[in-house]
Amino acid sequence: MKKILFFAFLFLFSSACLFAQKGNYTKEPGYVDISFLSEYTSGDNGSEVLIEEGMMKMLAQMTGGNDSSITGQLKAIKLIHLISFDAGGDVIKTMESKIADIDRDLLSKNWDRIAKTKSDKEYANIYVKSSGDGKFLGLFIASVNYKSGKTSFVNIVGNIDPAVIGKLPKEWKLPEMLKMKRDKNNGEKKEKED
Amino acid sequence: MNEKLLNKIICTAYGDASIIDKLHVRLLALKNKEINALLLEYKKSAQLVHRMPEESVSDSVIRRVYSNLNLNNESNFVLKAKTFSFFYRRPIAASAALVVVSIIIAISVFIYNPVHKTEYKPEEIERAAVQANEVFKFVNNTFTNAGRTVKEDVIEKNVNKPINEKLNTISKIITKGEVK
Amino acid sequence: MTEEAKYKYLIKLYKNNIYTYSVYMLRNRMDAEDVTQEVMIRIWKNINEFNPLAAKAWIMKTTHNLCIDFLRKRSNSANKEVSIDEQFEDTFSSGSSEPDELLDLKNLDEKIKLAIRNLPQNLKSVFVLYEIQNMKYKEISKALDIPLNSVKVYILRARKRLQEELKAHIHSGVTSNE
Repeated sequence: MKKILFFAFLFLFSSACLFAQKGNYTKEPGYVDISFLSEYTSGDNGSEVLIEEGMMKMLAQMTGGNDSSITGQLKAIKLIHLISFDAGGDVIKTMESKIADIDRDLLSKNWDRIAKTKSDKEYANIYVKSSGDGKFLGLFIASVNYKSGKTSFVNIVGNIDPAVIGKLPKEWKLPEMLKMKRDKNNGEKKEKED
Repeated sequence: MNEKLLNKIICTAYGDASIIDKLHVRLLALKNKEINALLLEYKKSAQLVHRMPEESVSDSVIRRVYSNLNLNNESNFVLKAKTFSFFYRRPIAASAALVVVSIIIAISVFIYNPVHKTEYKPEEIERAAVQANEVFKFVNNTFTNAGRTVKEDVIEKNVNKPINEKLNTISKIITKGEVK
Repeated sequence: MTEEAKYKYLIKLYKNNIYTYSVYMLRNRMDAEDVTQEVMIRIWKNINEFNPLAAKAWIMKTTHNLCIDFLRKRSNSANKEVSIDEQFEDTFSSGSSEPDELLDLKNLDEKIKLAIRNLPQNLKSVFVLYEIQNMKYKEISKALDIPLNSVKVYILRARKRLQEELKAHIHSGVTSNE
C-alpha cells in the first residue's frame, strides 16, 4: 500500500514537472525579462511582439521546403520578444539608463556583449548567451536611434545559429506566401461582390 | 447457525469484517434474537480485549541495555525520525499528504499554468510570420550597422579562429624563414 | 541518521511491544524483562543487517523465538512459575483504597489477561500480536513464520476460546458501551 502511494506521488509529481516545464521560457538561460518596458508601448506609440514556442513550431511546419536549416532554426526558437516604441527627450535618457542597468545585469549573468556601439546617430548593445559549442542560447539587442527616437529591445530565446538568423529575412518565403494568399483571397472576394 | 456465519459474527464484533459481511450480520441480528445475543456477547469481549493496555517496560531495563552497549543514555531523537515515523506508521497521514500534494499540483498546473493553445487561426499565423520576419530583419540590420566586424568576430571566434591561428603560424615560418 | 540514533528510535518505538508480548508469553514480568533486554541487544548487533522499514516483523520474530527458547528452558527446570494474576494479587492486597468500580475494572482486566494467558501457545501468540499489538496479518505471518491463512484461522479460534473463558465474567454484569 505504501509502495503504491509512493509511486503514485512520484508519478503525479513528475507529470506536474513535465507540464510545468512545457512553454516555460522564463527559466531558459537565454531569456531576458523586458516585460517592465511594456508600459511604453501604450496606444499608437509602440508595439510589442511575443511569439512563443508553439507558434514557432507551427511556422516551422508550414515552412517545410528544401532548406532544412531554416526549418530547424525556427523550431529551435522558444521565444521572440520585441518591444519597440518612439521615445523622445527625457524618455531617451531614461532608456539609456535602463540599457546601462540591463548591461550590468546581463554581464553579471555571464552573457557576452559582442557589440557596443555609440554614436550621435545610434546607441546599440548586442548580447549573446553562449552554449559553448558555437551556438547561442539567447540573443538580446537594445537599441536607441537618436534621430527617429525609435527604441527597440529584442530577445530571442532558443538555440540560435547566427548564420541562419542572418539569412532568414531573405530566404524565408513563408511570410510573403501567406501575405500573397491573403491578398488573393481578398481579391476574389471583391470580384464576387462586384 | 453454521461455522461460516459464526465467523462472520465474530469478525463483525471484533470490527475486522468486510462492509458487506457487517451489513449482512447486522441485518440478521435485527431479525434473529439469537444472532443478536451472540453478536453482543462477542462485542463485549472484543471491547474488553481492545481496551487492554500495553505493558510498559521499566526505564531501568533500557538503562541497563544502554550501559551494556556503552551508549549515551540521553534522548537523541532527530526530528526527521519523528516526522518520518508520523507519515510512515500512519497510512492515513501518508494518504492525506498525498491528496494535499496532488491538489496543489493540480492547481498549479491547471489554474496558474494553463495548457497552451495549440490551434491557431490563419490570421494569427500570418501575423506571427510577418512579425517574426520583421524581428529577424531588425536583428540583421543591427548586426550590419554595428559593423561587419561583429559578424566576422562572432563567427571567427567560434569557427575560423583555430584555422586562422594555424595559417598565421605557417605564414610566420615562411616570411621569417624559420624552419623547424 | 547515525546507528545510535537509529537504534534509539527503534527502541523507543518497539520496547513496549517486545515487553508486552513477552509478558503474555512467559506470564512472568522478570522473565519478560530478561527477554526484552536480550532482544534489545540483538537489535543493536543487527542494526545494519535489517531494513528499518521492516523492523517490526524482525523484532517480533526475534522476541517470539526468544520467548519459545525461554519456555523450553523453563519447562526443563524445577523453578516455580509466578503468574501475572498472582503478582497482581500481591500488589492489590497491599491495601488499595480505590473505588469499587475501578476495582471491578481492574479485576476484569486481570481476568482477561488470565484468559489470554490460558490460550494455547500457537493461538495466544497470534492473538496478542493482532488484537493487542495491532499488527497486520502479513506482518504476523512474517514474524511467526506461518502461512497467512493460518494467521486468520488462529485468530478466529483464539477469539472463540477466549469467549468461552470470558462467558462467566460477561454474564456477571460488564458495562456495555453500545
